[in-house]
Amino acid sequence: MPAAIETTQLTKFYGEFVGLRDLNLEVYPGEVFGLLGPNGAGKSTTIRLLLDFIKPTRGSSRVLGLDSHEGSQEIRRRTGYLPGDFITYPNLTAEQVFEYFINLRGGAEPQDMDSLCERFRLDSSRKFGELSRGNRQKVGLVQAFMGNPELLVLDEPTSGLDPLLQAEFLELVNERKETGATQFVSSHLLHEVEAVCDRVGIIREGQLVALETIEALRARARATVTVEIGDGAVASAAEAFSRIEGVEVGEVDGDTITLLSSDSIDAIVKTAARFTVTSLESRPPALDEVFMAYYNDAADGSEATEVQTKGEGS
Amino acid sequence: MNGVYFRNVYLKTLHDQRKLTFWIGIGLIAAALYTTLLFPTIRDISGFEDFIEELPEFILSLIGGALQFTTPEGYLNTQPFSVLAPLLMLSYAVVRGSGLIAGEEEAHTMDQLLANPISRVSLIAQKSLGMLTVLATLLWASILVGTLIAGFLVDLWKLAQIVFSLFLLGAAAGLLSAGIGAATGRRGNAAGLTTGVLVAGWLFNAIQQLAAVLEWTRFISLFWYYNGNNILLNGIVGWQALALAGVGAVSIAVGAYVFQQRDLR
Repeated sequence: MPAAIETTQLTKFYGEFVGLRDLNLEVYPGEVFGLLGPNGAGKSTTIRLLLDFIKPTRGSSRVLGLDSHEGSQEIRRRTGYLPGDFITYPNLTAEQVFEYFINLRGGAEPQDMDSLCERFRLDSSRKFGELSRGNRQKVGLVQAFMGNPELLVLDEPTSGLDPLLQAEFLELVNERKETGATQFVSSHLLHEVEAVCDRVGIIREGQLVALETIEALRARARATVTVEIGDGAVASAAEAFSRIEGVEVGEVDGDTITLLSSDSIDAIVKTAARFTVTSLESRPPALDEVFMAYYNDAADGSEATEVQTKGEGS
Repeated sequence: MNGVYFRNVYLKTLHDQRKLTFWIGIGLIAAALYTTLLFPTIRDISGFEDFIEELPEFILSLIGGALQFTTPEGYLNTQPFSVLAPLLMLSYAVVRGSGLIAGEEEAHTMDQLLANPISRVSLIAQKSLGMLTVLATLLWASILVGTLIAGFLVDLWKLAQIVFSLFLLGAAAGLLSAGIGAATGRRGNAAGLTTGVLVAGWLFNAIQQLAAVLEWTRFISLFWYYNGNNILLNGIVGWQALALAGVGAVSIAVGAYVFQQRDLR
């Protein structure tokens, strides 16, 4: 079975501006793949290249085993697509939009659409131009998912949705995953990617800076432990902690020491027990710290997997 | 569901044009009424011909030459078919043509439309056909209304010929506008350039009637191909009609080619 999506040195320049540089990526059939990055990093460029809306400056891509350009029509027949900023005909009702796209795409039935509308609580009898941002996004989601396409390409799918509908969307992604659909989701929202994706690619300034499973990323994240030491022994405690392998002593503020641990916190607790502990708080590994590190630090030309985790933001 | 309009791009194009078509249709029919009902009055004004003949030649060439205003053919040729009908037709064609492809891009609906399995060439073909269908329908409807109401005697065969020629003029302008829109993705470019070509052609066509030195300029005027032969009097010229059709066909073909190669906006 060929890869659902495969790109080779895929590159797009807009004049001088680098939209995407040398992207090599493989998305496996049935996988939920998250493309994560800040706004303007190249996520939409990647998606628009895959669907042949724009032509690569160099490199190539294959989708569902077909060349993005040569096989474009067949690819689009089998793909549900939600653009980053979903806009459609303002003077048509959502229902008319669905009818039009069902006719153009083939393979979808009106009842698919009805059940999806019900699920997202969308009143499809209203004109698109009169809908709120959240409702417009629902129209976009319904038209992407209708007809159970074997590949879903979703650009910022939950933007504008309230938390309840975001949850509904994530559930839908999980259901489609069970039926074997491949899903390519771009996002700048970590929790969304974390909740459904098998693997993520992190993209920054047009370049892929990391490509990993969610588990691997999580393993890279460090737990934060805050210990308050009594009896004025804070200095010697800090000294003791710094000798534990995999533990970095962060800020020391009065009697409070902040520690970052890439391992279990067992060693920290055992070391702390030698002192008078007035309080101990442990926060689980925060994935967003890892992402922030990628966003902030991954300079051009650095190794994709080299990460410096700074505790500056979460 | 909602019937036939959303079955394909062609029918959707007709749906998109409903409002504009309605108003242009009203305009055309009003124009047809106005010109035909005015004819008996003009015919009966004594000295009107003398007045016309005294007009400066440049004005005459702009409004279609010093033909007899008082015969039905002469009147129709000068009145609706030189100014009013082309103006309405061309406004419609330029507006619709420029928006055909570029309009969807500027409205950001193109990505979504092309996410469906349609080729870009088929998209342009269906949309162009939609525009031409409306153009033809409008013309024939207004001419029909005009002749029925006025009921004066003209050679219906020649009338059909000039209406066909007018359709070709509208088609050439519409497809030129659509072609530029498809190539550039900008409605402003398409409407602006096409209007420029038309206005320049209009002036060249008038000027070449006055100065023999500039006679060659008529070849670059769409208006000369449209009615350079005074169709109502002399009949349509095959190669001139073909030239108009050719301008339309080449414009849209080039537009489609560039559209296929370029990035969507």
